Amino acid sequence: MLVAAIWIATAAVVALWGMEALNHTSYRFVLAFIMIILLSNILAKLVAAYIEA
Amino acid sequence: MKSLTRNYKALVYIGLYCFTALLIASLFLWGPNERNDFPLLRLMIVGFATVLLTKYSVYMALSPWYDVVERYRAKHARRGVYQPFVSVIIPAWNEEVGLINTVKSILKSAYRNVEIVVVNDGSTDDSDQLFRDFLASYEAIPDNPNKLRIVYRYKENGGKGLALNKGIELSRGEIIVSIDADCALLPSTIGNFVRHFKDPRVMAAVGNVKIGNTEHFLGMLQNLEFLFSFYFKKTDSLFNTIYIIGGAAGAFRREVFDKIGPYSNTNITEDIDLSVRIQEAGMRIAYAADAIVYTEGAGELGGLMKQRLRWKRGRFQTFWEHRRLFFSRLSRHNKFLTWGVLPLALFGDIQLFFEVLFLAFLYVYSMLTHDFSSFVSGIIVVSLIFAIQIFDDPRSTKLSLYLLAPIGWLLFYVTTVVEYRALISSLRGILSGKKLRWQRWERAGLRIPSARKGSPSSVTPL
Repeated sequence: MLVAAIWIATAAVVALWGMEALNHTSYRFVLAFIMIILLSNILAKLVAAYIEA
Repeated sequence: MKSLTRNYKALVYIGLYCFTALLIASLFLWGPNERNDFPLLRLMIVGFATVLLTKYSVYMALSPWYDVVERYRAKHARRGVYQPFVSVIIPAWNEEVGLINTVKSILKSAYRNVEIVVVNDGSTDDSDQLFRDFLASYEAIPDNPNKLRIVYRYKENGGKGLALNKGIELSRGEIIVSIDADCALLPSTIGNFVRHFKDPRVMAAVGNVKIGNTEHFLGMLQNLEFLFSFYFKKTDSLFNTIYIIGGAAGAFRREVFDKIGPYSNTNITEDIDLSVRIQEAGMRIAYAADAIVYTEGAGELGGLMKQRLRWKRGRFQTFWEHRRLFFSRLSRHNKFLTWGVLPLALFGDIQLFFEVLFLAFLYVYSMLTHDFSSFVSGIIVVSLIFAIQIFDDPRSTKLSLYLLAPIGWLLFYVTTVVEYRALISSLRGILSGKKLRWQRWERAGLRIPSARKGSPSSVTPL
């Protein structure tokens, strides 16, 4: 429960920060970083699951 | 005493959480000044951070594909049983606390085609007598078909490299696994190492080292740090750019030593030297993420500093001795390594040298401009990296690590200070020509975390 609460709070901060970052040109790079690694992770997990199947 | 330590640890964590929350709140409550009079300072901060961010982007985006490649290889691997004879070499110097437990953990291995070779490098503690007694009692067990061959040799003190070479000389295995005398293996570790050698191109493999004593603050910190650095070996494994096979968990084909010679006895990090020589010979090094080895992390700051000094100094020595690898155009050398990873590793030390200055700039800039977006960006990036790494890790104390992830950026200040001191001491040592030998700190013994729900195999406490 505690861990879930911490991560929900973190996700909320990320969302708020994301909106703020969009107004900051240089921090769009950080936002791109987050998107790239999340997408790469999700895609890799899907491909790994496909290979297993 | 135990509850006092626990309360102290909880207080530290609460303090770190409060500081992190304060910085995040500052971004929203304390808006940045309209005028920004420090564009140059801002440019320096962004420039410094961009290098780190680019490196982590590449590693974090590619590392998950290691699992894809591993699964693909496993599915298309040659059929048939592959069970080579394995020798586990343990060099020991004054390791009376951990040596027997290390051997006991190997005796519980699920992979049984194994022998254990222990080389006592002229210890002055009771390890020699203790081990002889242990060996006598083990040999005395009658009619045990699962009994493993144990070879023990006490030799004159000569350094870790010579001890390892003596072990290789005494061993008969086709695959040689080297571990430290303060480590513990899981029953699956040796088998998982061996699986990687089914690919005939793989000449060496590095295991996944974890800290076993995480009940202390420093142990937990090192656990997080090891998780962080070993995750990146996944990308290195994909591109064959691993250049460090640590002494705590390494496996080699015997022919590696036939081809490139034994461990160095002049290099203080003989393990890094050997790994770089393997790369120099154009051989393949794999990362065995499922070959888990628990080691005892330094329990005190002094011990941690000694360890990091040896690593840092040894790495510099190795880089200097193998400087021809940097930007090498030879066809047998991996260009990702010689033009990318090695120069970046050296650049990392240059960055570390200026990191204190960078942090000072960052704090001063944020205070003067009320612009905390750099901080919050850093916190989010580091937390995300940790979260993904913990999620992907096959065997972590997940709950406690997840709790540490949001404050990981602050915890890493401790390792930055330790690494920075090691860097300065290394540079001083190199300039003065002062030599380093076996390094050790007070050992308390290793307790492997007990088996958790969903663990791949249960761990018997030693």
